[in-house]
Amino acid sequence: MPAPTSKRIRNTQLRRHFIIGNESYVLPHPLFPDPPDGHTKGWKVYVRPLPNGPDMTTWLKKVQLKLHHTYANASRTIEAPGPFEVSETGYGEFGVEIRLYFAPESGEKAVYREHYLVLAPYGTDEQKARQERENLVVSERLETIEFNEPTHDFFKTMVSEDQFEWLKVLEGRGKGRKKELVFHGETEPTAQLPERPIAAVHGDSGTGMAAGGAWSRLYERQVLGQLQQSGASLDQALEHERREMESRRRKMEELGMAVAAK
Amino acid sequence: MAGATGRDMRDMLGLPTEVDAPRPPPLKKQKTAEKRTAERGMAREVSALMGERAPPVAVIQTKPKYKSKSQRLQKVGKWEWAPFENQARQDGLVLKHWSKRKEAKIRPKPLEGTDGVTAPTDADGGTRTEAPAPEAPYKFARYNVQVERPSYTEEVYINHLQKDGWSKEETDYLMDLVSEYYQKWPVVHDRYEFKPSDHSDQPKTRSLEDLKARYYYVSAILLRLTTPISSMNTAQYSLYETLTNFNPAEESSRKNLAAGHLTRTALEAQEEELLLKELQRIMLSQKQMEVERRDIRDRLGYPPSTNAGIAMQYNTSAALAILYQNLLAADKNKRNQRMRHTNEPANTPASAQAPQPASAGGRDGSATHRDSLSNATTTPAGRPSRASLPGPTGAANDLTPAEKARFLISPPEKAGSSISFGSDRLHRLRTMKSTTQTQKVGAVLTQLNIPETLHVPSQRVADEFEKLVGRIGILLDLRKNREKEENEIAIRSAEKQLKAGTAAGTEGGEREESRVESSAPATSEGRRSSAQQIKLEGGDGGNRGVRKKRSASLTSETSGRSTSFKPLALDTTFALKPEWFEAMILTLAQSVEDAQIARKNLVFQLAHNHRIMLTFFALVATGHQRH
Repeated sequence: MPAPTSKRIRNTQLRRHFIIGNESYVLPHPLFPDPPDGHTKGWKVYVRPLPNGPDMTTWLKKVQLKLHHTYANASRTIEAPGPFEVSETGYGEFGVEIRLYFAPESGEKAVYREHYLVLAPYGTDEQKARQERENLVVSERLETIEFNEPTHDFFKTMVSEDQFEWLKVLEGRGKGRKKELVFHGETEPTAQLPERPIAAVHGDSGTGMAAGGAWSRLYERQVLGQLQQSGASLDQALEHERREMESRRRKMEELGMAVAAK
Repeated sequence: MAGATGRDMRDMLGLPTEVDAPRPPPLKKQKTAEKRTAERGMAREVSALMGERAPPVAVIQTKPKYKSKSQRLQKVGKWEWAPFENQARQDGLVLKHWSKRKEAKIRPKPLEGTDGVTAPTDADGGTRTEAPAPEAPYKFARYNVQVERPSYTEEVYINHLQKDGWSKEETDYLMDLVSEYYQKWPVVHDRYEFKPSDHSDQPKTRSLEDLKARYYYVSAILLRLTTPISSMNTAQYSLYETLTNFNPAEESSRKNLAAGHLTRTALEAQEEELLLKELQRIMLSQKQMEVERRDIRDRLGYPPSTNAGIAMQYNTSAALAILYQNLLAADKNKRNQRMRHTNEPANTPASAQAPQPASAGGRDGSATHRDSLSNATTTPAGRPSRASLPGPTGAANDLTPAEKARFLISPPEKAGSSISFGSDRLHRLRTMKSTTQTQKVGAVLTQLNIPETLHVPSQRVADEFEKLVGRIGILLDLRKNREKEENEIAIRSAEKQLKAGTAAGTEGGEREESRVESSAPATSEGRRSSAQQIKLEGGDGGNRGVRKKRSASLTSETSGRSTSFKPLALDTTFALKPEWFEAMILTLAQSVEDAQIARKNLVFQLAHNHRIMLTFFALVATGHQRH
C-alpha cells in the first residue's frame, strides 16, 4: 500500500486539456524507412499536451498504448517525459486502447480511453483533396480530463509555475548576461485553450509537440456557434409545434362541442 | 437336606458360578387387577370400569346402615303466625309471618311488668300469650345498605360548597335523590325534576355529568373538611383524588363515543379500518422518507434543516469560539476581495471564469504586486504571495481567480467521482434512459447537423450542448403530444361524420367501416400523422363513401409510433383516381401546412404509383404487340 493520500480538497476540480490523435502518411515516406511488404500506410498515434499549455508530465506519468494484436509487442508503454507517441506502419484501421497512468501524488487509478486510428482521407471532398495533397491525414480529438477533489499534494504540483518550464527557451538577454529561460511565444502560457490557433512554437518540426495548435479558443467558438445555430433552428421547430398545438386545441374543442351537441 | 439351590447344583456340576447381575430380582408382588371388594356402594362391573386405581374423589355411597325412623315419629312442629319488625324501615310497620316456634329448654317465666323479655308493642294492641324467643333481628334487614350521604350544615354550605348554578335547594334535592336511589346515576338523572321555587314549573334539566360533578364536588370538599389532606390515609386520599379529578366534559364525550361505537354500521367499521391502515402506512413511509431525506441532505452537505440542529452545534463554548473565528476569517476574506476588485479593474484576463466569491483567499500584500495591463496578454508580473490566511476549505483558496483560470480550477461537477472526462459528459448528455429515446434524440441531432463527436469538449461547449439537448427533449414531448391530439381530433371528426353520414344511411358506409376493421392490421409502417392517413378504396361509386375518414384504423396504427419524417406508405393497390386524393386531403387535413405536406407526399407516392402503372401498362402493351 502506498503511503496514505493526503486529504482531498473539496469543491475543487482541476481540468487539463490534452490531445489524443493520430497522423498517417502514405508510404513511402521519409519518416518510415523500409516498411515491411504490404504495409501501405505509416502512422503515429500520440497523446499530446496543448502547445501553449502546461507540461503533461505533472499529472501523466505513463501511457500504455495497446495496438492491434497482430502487431508484435502490441502493448507499447511510454514513460514520462518522452513524447507519448508510437509510430508504426500498417494497412488497416483499428481502435487503439490508451491507458493513462497518473502521477502518484494524485492517488488515482489508471483510466482507459479509446482512439480510432484513421488512415484514409475523410471529410468533405475538399478536405480529402487537401489531405491527399499534403500526404497527411490527421485525426485528433481534444480531450479534457477533470480531477475532482484532488489531494493536497497533487494540487500543489498542478498549480506550480514549473509546469510551464518546458516551453521556455534558453535565450540570452543580451551581452554579458546569463542565459535564462524565457517564454518565447507571444501568448502567455495558460492551461486554458489558447485564443487563436498557434503555429509551431518551437519552429523545428511541423509535427511534434506543437502540432496541436489547431485547438484554440477560436475553434471552440466555432463549435459553440454551430451549436447555437442548431439551437436556433430547434427553437423554430418548437415554436411551430406550439402553434400547431394551439390550433389543435381549438379544433378539439369545437369538435367536442359538435359531437356532444349531436 | 435342604433343597438344592441353583448354586449348589452348579457347584456340583462344576459350572462357573454366575455373577448374578442379570438374575431377576425376586418377583415383586405386582398389583394385578385388584379386587375392589372394599367398595360396597357399587357393582362389581362398575368398579371394573373405573380401572386400577381409585378415583381421586371416591364416590362411594355408604349404604345407610339403617333408616332413621326417629324423624317420622317426631311431633309436628309448631308454627305460629307472628308479627315482626323490619329494622330497615323507618315507619315501624309491623307485619306478620309464619315462623317456627322453637321448643326452648328453659323458659324464663315472663315477668309481669315491662322489663325482661321485650314484648314489642303491637300496632293493634293485641297481646300475645306466650312470647317466643327474643326477637331476632329481621333476617333481611341487613341487606338494606344505605349510601353514605354527605351532610352539611347551612354554614358549611355557605362557606365552602357554593357554586354557580347550584342553589342550596337544588343541592339538597340532589343529595336526597342520590341517597334515595342508591347512587344509581341513570335513575337519579331520570328522576331529576327539580322545580326551583322561584321559577314556575320549569324543571331544570341537567346532564348526568353535571349532577355527578356537583355531587363529587360536594363530597370532595366535605371529605377535605373532615379530614385535612395531610392526614388522609391512602384509601381516603385516592377517593379524594378521584372526586376532584372528575371531568364532566371528558365523561360525556367518552359516553358519546361509546354510543357511537354501539350504533355504527358495518360500513363505518370498515372505513375506520381502512383509514387506520392508511395512517399506519403513512407513518411508516414518513419514517422512510425522513431517513431518505436525511441521507440526501448529508450527501449534499447541506446545513441541517431544523433550527434546533443548527443551534445545537454551537452549544459549547469551544464551538462558539471556533464559529467566531470562522466568521471573522470569512469577513476578512470578503473585505479583501472587495478591496482587490477596486484595485485591479482590468486584471483578470478575458478568459478567466467567474470567481467564486467565498473561495477566493485573502491576501494582504499581493494587491499591489499585480499591475493592471493595457494589452490583452498578461505577463506574469510578480508571483503573488501564497502566504495568506488559510481559508476554511484549504489550499485551493489561496489562489486568485486569475491563477485559477490559468490552472483551470473550478468546483467539481459531480461529488465523489475522482476522474472524469469532458467528452464523457457530452456523451452522457446525449444518451437517455431508454434506447428509443436515445435514437430519437440522435435523429434530431443529425437533422440539426450536429456531428456525433464534438471535437472540443470544454466546459462552455458542454453547457451549451446540455441546453440544446434539453430543448430537444421538449420538442420530442411536444411531438408525442401532437400525435395524441391529432388522433383525438381524427376520432372526433370521424364521429361527427358518422353522425352526419348515418342520416344518409347507406350500406356503403357500413361496408367501408367493416373494410376498415378488417384491413386495419394490414397497413402498419410509416404513418406520419392521422390527418394524412387515408385508406382508399377504389371502385366505389360516388364521393360520399370516399369522403369518410377511416378513423378506427388510425388509432390502432398511430399509437406508439415514433415521429419521423418518412413519407406516407399508402396502400397502393387501390389508388386509381388522383383527383379524389387531392380533394380528400384538402378537405380532411385541417391545416394548410399539413395539406401541403400531405399533397407533396401524396404526389410523390402518386408519381410512384403512376410509374408502376405505366410500366405495367407498357409491359402489357408490348405483350399485346407481340402476340
